Amino acid sequence: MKKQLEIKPVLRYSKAKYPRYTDPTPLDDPQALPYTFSQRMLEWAMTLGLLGATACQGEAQEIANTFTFDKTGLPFVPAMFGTGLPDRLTGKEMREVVLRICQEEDLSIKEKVPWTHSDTHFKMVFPITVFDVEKKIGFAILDRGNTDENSIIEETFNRKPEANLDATQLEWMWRQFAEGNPEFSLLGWLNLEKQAFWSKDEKAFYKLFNKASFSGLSEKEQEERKWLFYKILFKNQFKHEVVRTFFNKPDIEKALKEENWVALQQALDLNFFISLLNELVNQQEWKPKVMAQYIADQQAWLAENPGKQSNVTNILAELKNPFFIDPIVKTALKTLFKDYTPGWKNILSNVREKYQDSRFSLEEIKALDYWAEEKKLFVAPISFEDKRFNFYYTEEELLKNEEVSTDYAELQHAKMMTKEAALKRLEESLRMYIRWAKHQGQY
Amino acid sequence: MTQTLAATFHLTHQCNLRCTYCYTGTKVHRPMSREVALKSLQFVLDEARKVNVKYLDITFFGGEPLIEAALLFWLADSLKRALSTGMTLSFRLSTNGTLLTEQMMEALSQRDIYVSLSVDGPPQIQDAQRPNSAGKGSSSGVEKAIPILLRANPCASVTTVLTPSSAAFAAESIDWLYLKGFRYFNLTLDYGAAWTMEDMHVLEKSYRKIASWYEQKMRDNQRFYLSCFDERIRSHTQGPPHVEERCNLGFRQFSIAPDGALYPCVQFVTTETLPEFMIGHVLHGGFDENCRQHLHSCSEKPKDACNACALQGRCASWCSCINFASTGTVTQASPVVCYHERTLMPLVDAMANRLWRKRNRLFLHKHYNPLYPMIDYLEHLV
Repeated sequence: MKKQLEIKPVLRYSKAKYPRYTDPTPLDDPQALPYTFSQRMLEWAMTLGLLGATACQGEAQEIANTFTFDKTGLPFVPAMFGTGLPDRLTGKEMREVVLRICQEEDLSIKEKVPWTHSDTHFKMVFPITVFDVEKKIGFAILDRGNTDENSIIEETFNRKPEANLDATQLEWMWRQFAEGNPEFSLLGWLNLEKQAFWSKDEKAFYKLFNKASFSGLSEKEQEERKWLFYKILFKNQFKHEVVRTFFNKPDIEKALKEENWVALQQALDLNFFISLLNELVNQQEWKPKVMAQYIADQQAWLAENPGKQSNVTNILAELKNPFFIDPIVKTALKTLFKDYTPGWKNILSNVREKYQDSRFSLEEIKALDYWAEEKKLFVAPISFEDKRFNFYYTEEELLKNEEVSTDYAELQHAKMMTKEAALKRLEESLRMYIRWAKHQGQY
Repeated sequence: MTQTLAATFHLTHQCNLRCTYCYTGTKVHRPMSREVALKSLQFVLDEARKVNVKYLDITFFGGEPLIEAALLFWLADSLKRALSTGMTLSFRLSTNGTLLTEQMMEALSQRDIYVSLSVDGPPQIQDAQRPNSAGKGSSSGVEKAIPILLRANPCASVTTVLTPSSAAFAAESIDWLYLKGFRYFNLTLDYGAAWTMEDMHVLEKSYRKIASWYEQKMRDNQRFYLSCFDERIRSHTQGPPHVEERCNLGFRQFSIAPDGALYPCVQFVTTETLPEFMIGHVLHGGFDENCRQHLHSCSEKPKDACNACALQGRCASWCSCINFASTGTVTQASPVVCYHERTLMPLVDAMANRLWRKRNRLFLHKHYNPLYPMIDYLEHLV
C-alpha cells in the first residue's frame, strides 16, 4: 500500500549557511567579485558609450588619508547568526605589519603610547598602539578589547525595551552604589531606552539624578550646562555595560516640563548627532545647526509616525516600571538622592575615567579625521571591521592551484592566498597613509 | 495605496488540449461575451482608480485564450485607451502555444503582451500529459511555437507542471527546454494530484539531478531563472514575501470568469460555478465585500498544523490557492506542500551553500545584487 503524505512541522532547521537577509550583504565586501558581463553585452555597451567612464579608471592615484572613519566599518552591526562572515586579520598580525612598515618608512616609533588631549569642549584619552612622537604619526589597532561598546550596534537594542531588573537586583545594585563600590556601574540601574515613557515620579528621580551628575562639574560648567555632555553607563538586557553620551539640553528639560514624551524621545535620539557636532563644529555655530537638524528630524519623524503620540500612552500602560517594583527600593532611592554627598562625584569620575581611558569611544575614533586634518596629529585607526582587511577565498583563487588534490588542502591554500592578499592591502594602505601624513605634516 | 492590482480575464472555457491534470473542468465553447468583457473592463479600471494603484497587471487566461484572439486584442486596445494617467499597464498571456503563429506573435508584440508558454517537456512527456482534443500529442505544434516566441522575446518564460507520472523526468524536461532556448522556468507541481511518499522520493531524485544541473550552469556563468530553486534561495536571502507582495486572496489579485463571476485566483475558475469561492460578479454590482472579506479572513487564519515549524515564512503554505487545489479548502495547509518543502528546501540550501562557499560570481550577483534582474534582462535582450 502506498504511503500518504502528512503535515509534519520541522522543529529545527539550520541547513542554509549562506548569508541571509539579516546578514551584511556579501557584495559589500572588497573580495566580492564584479559582475561578469557577456562579451556581447560589453560590445553593445561600448557602442553606446556606457563603459566610457570605466575606461578612465587606473590613472594616477591621489595621495589621501587611507584610514578615515568611514573605512573603519564602525559602528559595527553584528549578524545575528554569523552566516557567511569573512575571516579577519588578527590584531597581532596587523601589529607585525604595522611595525615592519613603520620601520621601512623611517618612523621612530614607540609602542602603547597613552595620548591625552583636551580643549574647551572635548577630551581625548586613548592609547596609541605605535606612535612617532616627533612626526606625530601613529596607528591605533582597534579590536573589541579597546573599543567602546558604542561602536557595536546590537540588533536587540532596536527591540521594545523590557524591564530587566527585578526588585532584588535593583536593591542590590543600589546597595553597591551606596556603599561606594567603584567597580560597580554607578548608573547601572538607569535604562535609557525607557526614558520617553517615564512617569511623573520617575521624572522627579531623573531631575535628582541630573543634579547629582552635574554637581561633578565646575560651577561655570553648571551654569552653561546646556552645552555639556555626559557619558553614562547603563546595563543592557545581557547585563553588559554600555556607554551612552547624554546631553542635557533645553529641549530635554522643556520636554520634561511639558511632559511631551515624543519630544523627549526625539531630543534623546539626537545625542549621537549632537556629540559629533560638538567635536567638529565651533560652539558659536553649533546651536543653530543642532536646532535646524532637530526641527527637521522631529518633523520627519512625526510625519512618519502619526500614531506615535497615542501609542506612547498605550506603551506606558504596558511597560513594567522598574522603579515601582518594590516600594522599599523606591524609598531607598529617594533617600539616597536626598542624602547626596560630594563623594559621589569622585566615584562617578573614577568609574568613568577608568572605563574611558583604556578605550576608544566612537566619538574619539571619528575625531581622528579632524585631528589629522586640523591639528596635524596623524593617528590612523586600523579597525577590526575594516572590510579591506577581511578575506574570503574565491573560486578563482581555488582554481589557480592545479596541484592540490583534496578539498581541505584546496581550502587551506585558498585561505592562505586570500589572507596574503589582505596583508598586502594593509601594507599598501599603511604606506599610503604614512606618505600622506608626512606630506600633510611637511616631513 | 496598493502598489499593484492584478486582474485575470478568463476569455473562454474552451481549449484545444486535454491536459491530464487540468482543474478547470469540461471544455465547452463558452467565451466571454462582449457585454461581460465591457463590464469587466470598466470594473477593473474603476477598481484600479478606487484603490489608487500604480501598476495594473492584466493577464489573459483560459481555457486557451488565443481561441478568443479577437476579444483579447479588443480588450488590450480598449484598456490602453481608457487607462488613467499615472498608472502603468502591463499585459501577460498564458498559452499552450498551439495557436501561436508568426502573425499572432506579431499582433501580441505590437500590444506589448508578455507571452508565457505552458510546456511540460520533450515530446514523450508533452504528448502524454498534454494531448489534444482528438487524443493526439501536441508536441509538434508547440515545438513550432517555441522559436517564434523566443525570437520575439528571448526573456519569455515557460511553465512546466510536474505530475506523479512526469516527476522522474523533471531534470530532462528542464534541460530540454533550456536547449530549446528558454531561460525563465516556472516549475510547479500538480497540487491536485494524489501524490504519495513513493512519488515524492522519485521527485526528490529528480530535484537532485536539477541541483547538479543548476550548479554546473552557475559555474559556467549561464544566466537563468528556475522558480522552485531561486524562490527558495530568495526566501533566505531576501526574507519571506511581504504581505504586500502576496496576492492577499481577492484583494491584490482577482480573476474574472467568462460569465463575469469574480474569483480570488485562477485556481477557482472552472466550468462549474463555485459559489463558496465567488467574491462577486461584474454584472451584479462588482465585489461582494462580505464574501471577499470572509474568504480572506479564512485564508489568513494561522494553520494549526504548521505551528512551531521552522520553515514557516519560507514555505508556500500561505498560498490559499495551492491549499485549495490540494485539500479542497483554503483553511488547511497542504500535506503535499509540506512534504515537498521539507524535501526541496534542504536540497536547495545545500546547493546554495556550495555555490556560496566557492563564492560563485553569478550566485552572488543573482541573489544579492539588487540590480541583477535589470542586468539579466539586458543581457538576454542584447
